[in-house]
Amino acid sequence: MNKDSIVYTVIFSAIVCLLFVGILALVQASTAERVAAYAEASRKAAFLNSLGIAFKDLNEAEQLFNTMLTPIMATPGTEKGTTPSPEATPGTAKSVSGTAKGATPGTEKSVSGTAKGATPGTAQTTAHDKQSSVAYRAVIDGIEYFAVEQSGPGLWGTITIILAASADGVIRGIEIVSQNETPGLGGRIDEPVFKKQFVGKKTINWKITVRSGSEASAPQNSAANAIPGTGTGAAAGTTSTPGTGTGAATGTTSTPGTTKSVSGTGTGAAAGATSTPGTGTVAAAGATSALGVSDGYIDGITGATRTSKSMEVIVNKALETIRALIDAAGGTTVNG
Amino acid sequence: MAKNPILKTAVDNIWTNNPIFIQILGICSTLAVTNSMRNTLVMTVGVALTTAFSSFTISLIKNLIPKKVRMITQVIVISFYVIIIDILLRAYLPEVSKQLGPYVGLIITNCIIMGRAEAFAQANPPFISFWDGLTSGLGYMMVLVFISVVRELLGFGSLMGVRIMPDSFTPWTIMIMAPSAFFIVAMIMWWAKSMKKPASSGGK
Repeated sequence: MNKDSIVYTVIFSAIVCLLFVGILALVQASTAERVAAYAEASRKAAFLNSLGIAFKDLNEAEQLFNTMLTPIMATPGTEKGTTPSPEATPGTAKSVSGTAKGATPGTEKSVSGTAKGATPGTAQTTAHDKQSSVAYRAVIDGIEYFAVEQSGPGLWGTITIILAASADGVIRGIEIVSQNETPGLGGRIDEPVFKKQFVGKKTINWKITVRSGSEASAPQNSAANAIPGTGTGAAAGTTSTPGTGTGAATGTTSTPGTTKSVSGTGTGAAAGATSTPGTGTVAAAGATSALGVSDGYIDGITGATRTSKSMEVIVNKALETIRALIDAAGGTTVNG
Repeated sequence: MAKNPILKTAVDNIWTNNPIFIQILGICSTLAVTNSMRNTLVMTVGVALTTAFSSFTISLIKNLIPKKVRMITQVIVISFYVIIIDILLRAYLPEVSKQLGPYVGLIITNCIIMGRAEAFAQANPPFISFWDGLTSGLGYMMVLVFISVVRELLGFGSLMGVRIMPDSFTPWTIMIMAPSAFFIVAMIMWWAKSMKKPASSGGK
C-alpha cells in the first residue's frame, strides 16, 4: 500500500492512537487502586499533621486517625447541648434575632452570615467541594480542636489545606493536602518553614493576614481572583432565601474594594445581608481596623505574592468554617 | 573528534552540540526548575529517559510513519512516555510525585525531545537513537545541575535542601527568580564558546 495515501495515513494514525492510549489506560487502571489508597492515607496523615499528632508511618497514621479523630457530622448525638439539626442551626447561632433564614442579620453580622452560609448541614460548609465529612474533632491534652479541609483557588490550580484550631481561635496547625503552585516559589507553602508559622498562631477575629513583602499593600490580583470563589459560596448559601439577590450582590461588589483579608467577612456578611445591604460595609470596616494588631500575621513566601494571598483567603475560609462549627456545637466562640 | 559513532554521538550531545548552550533548546525548563537542585535532578533524569525511549520508539517505527502525520506521531509517542512516567511515579513513588507536581507533565514541552526525534531518530537505527536521546539528556542535565547548584546555594543557602551556607549568609532573592537563570545560562554560553575553537562563533 502506498505509504502516503489517505487510507494508509488514517489506518496508521488510528492504530498508533489506539495502541498507545490503550496501554496508558491499562496502566492507569491497574494502578488506580494504589493511587487512591495513597491519597486517602495521606489525607488522613495530613489531618494528624495539622493537629500536631506525631506518627511514624502511614499505617500508624491510619490507626491514630481512627482512634483520635471524630468526624463531626457522623456523630451528631455526642455533641454537647442541643444537637443542632441542620435546619435548626440558624436559631442556635445565639444573638441572632431572626429564625427565618433570610432574616439573620443581627448584631454579629459576620458570624451570623457565616453560620447561615453553613446552614444547610453545618459541617457541609464546603459541601460544594466534597460531600464526605470534611470536619473532625479531636481532644489532645484535654483541649478540643477542630480540623477542617478547605479548598480554594491558588495561582495555578486548587490548593487544598487542612487547618486545625481550638475553640478560642488559636491555630493548632496547617497541612497542605494538594497544591499546584510553582515549585520553588509558591510551592514552598508546603515547606515546614512556612507551615510552622501557623502553629500556635493567634487569630484576630478568626482571621489571619499573610504579609508578602512590598506588594502587601497592593494585593489586587490575588484578592480579586480569589474572591469569586468565596462569592459563589455565599451565593450558594443564600440561594434558597427569597430576596437574597440584593444582599448577595451588595456584599460581593463591596468586597473587592476592601482590604484583602476581609474577603471572608465581607462575603459572610453578604450572605446575611439580605435585608440590610449596609452590613457588608460594616463588617468590612470592623475587620480593617483589626489589621493594625500584630497577632494573626503570617509571613508569605518571598517572590510568591499571589500564592501567599491565596493562602490567606483559604485559611480564612477554613477559620470561618471552624468558627461556624463551634457556634453550631454549643456557641463557645470567643467573639474577638 | 572520535571515529566511533557511539562516542561521537555522546561527545556531540554533551559538548560540541550541547542542547542548552549550543542548540539553545529546553530553555523554559532551565529557567523554571533550576532554583532547587533536587527538582533539577529529577526533571533532567525524566527528560533524559523520555528522550531516550521516545527516540528509540520513533526510530523503530520510522519506516511505517506516513509523512503527513510524522510530527503528530512523534508527539503521541513522547506524551505516551511522559504520562507513563507520571502514572508510575504516582503509584510507586508518591512522595517524589508530590514533590514534582506539575513538572512531570511539563517534560513533554521540552524542545529537546522533539528535536532529537526529528533530527536524529527519524534517520537512524533504534539503538543509536536511544543512545543519542540519553546523551542529549545528559548534556542537558550537566548544564542544569550546574545552574541549580549556583542558584540554590546563593538563593536559599542550601544544596538538596540541606543548609550549607552559614547563618549570617543573606540569600540572594534574585537567584530564586527566573532571571538569574538567564544570567547564568548566558555566562555558561560565553564560557563554552570561548573554550571552543574560534571557528564556532555564531549562536543565536
